[in-house]
Amino acid sequence: MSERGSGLERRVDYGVLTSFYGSLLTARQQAMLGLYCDEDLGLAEIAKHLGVTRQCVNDTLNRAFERLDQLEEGLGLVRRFASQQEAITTCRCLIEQAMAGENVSDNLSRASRLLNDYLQEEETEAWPLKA
Amino acid sequence: MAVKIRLKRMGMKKKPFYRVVVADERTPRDGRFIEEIGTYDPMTNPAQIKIDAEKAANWMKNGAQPTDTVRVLLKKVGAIQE
Repeated sequence: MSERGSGLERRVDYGVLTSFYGSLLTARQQAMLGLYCDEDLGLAEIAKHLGVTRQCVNDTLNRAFERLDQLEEGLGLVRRFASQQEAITTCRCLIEQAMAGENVSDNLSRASRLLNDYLQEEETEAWPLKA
Repeated sequence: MAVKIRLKRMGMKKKPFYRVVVADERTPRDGRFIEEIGTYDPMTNPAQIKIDAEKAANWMKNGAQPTDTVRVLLKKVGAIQE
């Protein structure tokens, strides 16, 4: 079983993981994840919709969750995407402030340092991959 | 016809954004729903929940069942009590 939260949080988290890694799962797993995460269906509803048992849905989804967690642990695409977005957003904010004439050199040097740190982090993290 | 209040994921591939919709329980995936009564954005900090509490209450009075996840959201915005 996965360690991610249940209900709402679980649907959101696995929905994101599915959008990154979904194509690596089986068609059946993808179908069930879609109904679970995107359509907010319960296990019994998914079972009824696909004409299988609830137990089958439960097993298939749990295997899919496990696989998604494994993929993220090994590849970290979601984690990287999040830190990339954060670095870029902060940089954009700093540059915009500089463009507006606020503490120009200070804001620009902070943006530059941030990008530098980010690049270095990527370089050092590149191999071996650590979860 | 059983009617449910549930979330429906919209938006970008990597940026989840949900609508809170009233829909026939038999028609997932076909994109149809009866009414949109709110939105849920988990990507902001804190997550942004906008739900028309009056509409939600009306639908529930008429027998619409919120899913467990929507129930959590309704509680958070104070549209239903424990």
